[in-house]
Amino acid sequence: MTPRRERARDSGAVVTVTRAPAAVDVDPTRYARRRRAVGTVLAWGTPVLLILLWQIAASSGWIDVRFFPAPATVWKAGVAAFGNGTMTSAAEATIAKLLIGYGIGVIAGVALGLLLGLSWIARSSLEYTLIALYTLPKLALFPAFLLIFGIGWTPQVVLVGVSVFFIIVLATMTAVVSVEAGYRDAATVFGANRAQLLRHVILPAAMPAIGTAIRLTAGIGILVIVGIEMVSGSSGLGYLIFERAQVFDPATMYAGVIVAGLIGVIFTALVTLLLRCAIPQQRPRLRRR
Amino acid sequence: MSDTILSATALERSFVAKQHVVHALGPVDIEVSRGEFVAIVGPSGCGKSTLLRIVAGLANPTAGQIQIRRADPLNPLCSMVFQDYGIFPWKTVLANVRFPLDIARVPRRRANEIAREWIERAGVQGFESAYPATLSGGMRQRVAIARAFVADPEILLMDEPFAALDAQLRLVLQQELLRVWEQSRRTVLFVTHSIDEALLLADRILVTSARPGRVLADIRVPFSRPRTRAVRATVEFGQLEEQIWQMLKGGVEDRGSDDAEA
Repeated sequence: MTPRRERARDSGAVVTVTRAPAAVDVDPTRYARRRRAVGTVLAWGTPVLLILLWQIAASSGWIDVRFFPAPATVWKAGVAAFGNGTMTSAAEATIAKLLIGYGIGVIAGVALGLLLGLSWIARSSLEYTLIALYTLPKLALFPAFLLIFGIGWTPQVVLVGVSVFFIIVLATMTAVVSVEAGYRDAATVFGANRAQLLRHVILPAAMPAIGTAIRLTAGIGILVIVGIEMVSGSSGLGYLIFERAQVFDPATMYAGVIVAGLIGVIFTALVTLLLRCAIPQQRPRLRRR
Repeated sequence: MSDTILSATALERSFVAKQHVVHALGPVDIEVSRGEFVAIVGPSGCGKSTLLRIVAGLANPTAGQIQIRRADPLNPLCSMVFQDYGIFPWKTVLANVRFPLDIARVPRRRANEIAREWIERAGVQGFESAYPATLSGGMRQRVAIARAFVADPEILLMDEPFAALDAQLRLVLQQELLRVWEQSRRTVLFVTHSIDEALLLADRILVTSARPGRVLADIRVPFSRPRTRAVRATVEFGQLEEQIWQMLKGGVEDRGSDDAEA
């Protein structure tokens, strides 16, 4: 940018700088609508394009279809797996375990986090212990969970819950501690008791930060459940993916991977949507122009 | 009007900051009558806000005490208008104004009615369901004022409520505050930096010194009520303004640029 200006000054020419309305200023509604449309096309276009490239590469023999079966093959295998019920029951098992584990982890985490945030006695006695437990790899605890809870769903659900729990606890505690003192004061002046302070001020003020943790851990929950299903038990998408790879059925394996990915996207989107309702101060608002 | 609502005796407050003790306030002795509008004017850091926080019960004195005589123990004692952080960004205008009533467990329908009344009086009608983030600074402060009045407190505390607003808006809101206050007079403690604002609004002005804050003068403002902006044009107004400025000047000049940032 600078060189051009330098040149203009050297030649002694008069430079006019123009500030004129751009497309966004002339018709903001239309501009916004167009942007949204382009955004949607791009969001869907990228995966569609990738799948298309994959299909072309497979059918023209650029890649080894024994390891990378064509999308059409994967689609057929997926439909078949849904048809005979293996994929359906695997997806159901994964979703159920995810919902229970994640739900318990989030609820327990927010509850303990609030307690830690509100009471310095609780905080002093538990904060560093919780940080120590948080840094422990949860997967290393899984054999212990197996011993305690036996085989089946329970140890896997517990693992998901624990993985989510520690992040939520620490995030919630920090969020509560960092609520602006001015907001607490405003409530105290009007005579709010502890419960009212929590309901009207602390919880809503801390909610954006807690919400971020809830959103991030939704993804972690899926990673953990699918991962642990691969190494233990005989249910869920992780098990299906691993087992199909071992019997050399890559098409169904990829179908499982894709279903797991879709569940991840939908689950995260649902969590985000729920949070948007819970955090009024973060709702998208009209930008002033 | 010799009915005393608040009396502070030998009130002091100091803070411990990194090993040394900062003596912020006092000792001060203050008496305030019921229904009196008292402005507290002084340089920054003279403990004006600390005094309000002690009255509100948000802080304790380190020496001395304040006695508040309540007319009706069922009514809320204090409400406060803060310079910022006053109103809650997660509540709509209506919910913000209704907040003191929610705390007092007033039934929702009745609470909404009263809140709407004050929203109208404060001039924010039409924005009941808006969130504070979509309002201008002036509108937000109107909401804060409506909320303070809705509580129907015995003492209304205002901590530089207009300090963050631009000059024109200040004039408008001062006028509005006068109008609202004159309709339902109650005891007000109003902290401000502005001598002009204090003279326009108050019955009495306490001029305080730089840290540690002490009362330098207790000035009765002679202008009659209802009062309007017009009193600014009187000779007396100018004389009083000059008199208070002379008292403050020493303290302010000593502190130099320190004063500007607060």
